[in-house]
Amino acid sequence: MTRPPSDEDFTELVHAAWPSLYRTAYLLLGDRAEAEDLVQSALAKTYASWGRVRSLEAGPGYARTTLVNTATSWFRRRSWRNERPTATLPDHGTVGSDPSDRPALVAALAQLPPRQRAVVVLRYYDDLSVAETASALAITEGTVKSQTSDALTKLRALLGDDVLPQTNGATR
Amino acid sequence: MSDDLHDLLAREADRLDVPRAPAAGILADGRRLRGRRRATTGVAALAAVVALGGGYALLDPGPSDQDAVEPAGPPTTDLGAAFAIGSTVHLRDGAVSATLPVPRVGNLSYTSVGVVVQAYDADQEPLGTHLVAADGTVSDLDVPSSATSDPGSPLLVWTTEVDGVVTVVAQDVWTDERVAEIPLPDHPGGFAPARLDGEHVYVGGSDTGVLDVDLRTEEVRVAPALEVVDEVAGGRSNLGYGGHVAVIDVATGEEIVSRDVTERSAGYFQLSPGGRYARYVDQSRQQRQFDLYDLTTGTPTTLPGSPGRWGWTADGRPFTVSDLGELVVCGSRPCTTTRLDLDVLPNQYPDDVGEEVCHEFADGSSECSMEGTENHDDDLALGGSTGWS
Repeated sequence: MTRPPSDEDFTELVHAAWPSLYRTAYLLLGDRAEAEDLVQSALAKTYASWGRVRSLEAGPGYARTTLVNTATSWFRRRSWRNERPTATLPDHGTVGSDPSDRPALVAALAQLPPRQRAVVVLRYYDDLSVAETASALAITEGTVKSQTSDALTKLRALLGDDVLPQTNGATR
Repeated sequence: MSDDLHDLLAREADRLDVPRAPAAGILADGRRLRGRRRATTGVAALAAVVALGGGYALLDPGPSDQDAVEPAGPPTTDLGAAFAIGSTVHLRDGAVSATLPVPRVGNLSYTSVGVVVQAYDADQEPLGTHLVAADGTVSDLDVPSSATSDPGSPLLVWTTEVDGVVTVVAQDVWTDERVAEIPLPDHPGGFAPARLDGEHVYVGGSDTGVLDVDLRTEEVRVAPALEVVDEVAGGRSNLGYGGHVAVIDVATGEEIVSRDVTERSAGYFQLSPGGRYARYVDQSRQQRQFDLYDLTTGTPTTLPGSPGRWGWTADGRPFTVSDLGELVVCGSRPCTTTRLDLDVLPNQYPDDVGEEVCHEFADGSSECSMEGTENHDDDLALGGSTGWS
């Protein structure tokens, strides 16, 4: 098994990858604490699996895929849909202060089922293709397309056509 | 506004206040996880799809270690919260259950392939040990009640004497086969408590100190930071009972969290499976709340009720099951409550478990504690013990 990187190298990798991973995690989960947990978990798994990563350059990419896989396993948990925060309102962060956003995009994303939310984030934020999104979420390309379509329909209903026009910004 | 969805998402993400990366904690978690994985090398290796430069590439799995101990078993499954009500064991947050043909079960401990439970008869006498696998399948185990587990490993480990020599025995609960027998010829024999943590077994009762037995290499050395074997999980161990109590890093001896307990109190830290959290148990009084410490950050959180009313999930978060059949899971993030689909609810806990008695001391101070008999009739057992007592 390939030896793990030095503490200094891995710490540098963590600091470099953290902001981008955190933003993706927040968009996937809609909760700051959960996002922090998810990124921590993904980076720790990356360190533990260094035999598969093999180089520092591949580290951030491996961590991103691990993050998506871990989020997907969280979505599959029976409790995910049934969970409700106890005595704490969902954290929607500081986004959405602009009234013209009506409602904030993250609040609208939070109303999507987890898989639809993941499809939207991976395709339209991380710029993954349909095939790459299907691979990352372990679903078929057809499911990606149908979930995307359903998600956009809901987002348009929530955000309005002027906020979310028919041309949606997917590049691939 | 006519931005496309990509721009909207990018703008939302850019407006986030990104917290500082807890690099030291991530590194520590990674090390612990690596240690646990190396102890479970029988898990099928899967190719990893990795994003590289905007595209995804398929990477080969790395070469596997040629370990002395190579336990077999299915891929590790998230067992979630495991608990038992009477003779029915629930795991994976209540999604899977199994009923054993015994009056009741208890002492639930996690392995990577399922939950190990002790069966009891109507007089609370042990009947045997069983594995409840992640899919609810039940099998009998031929292991002593002193066996110790780790949630990241399929092994149960204990000590026994073979021809008068204390020997560490490791058994794979998935195959029910012994995978290691490591003699400790310098151990004086008699009391030899063991704790499994990843691929290491810590054995007490030796004149030279706590022994650290590496299951892979079979190397035996003294663990200098440990004085006794109580709980060891995730490279951390609890230290002390009363006075100065702490959770320490086993490798360095460094204190991660500590408390100074008054001479009239007695308390200790309890570690979660995997060692991510610790809770402080004050045995001198009936606790109506307790402190939970995230050992990555050292941050304490207060949880309601007695610590004994809370178990640990397989990934080390505290959980409890309410009398109404709700699963409450906490940790460093906000607690969540899930309504469980249970045929039988836990017994009603008594509101009072004794009488509050106050003592006045010569210096004019006073201290109150709960005295009396606790009601042990409830039939709820919560998962998360790291060994058998």
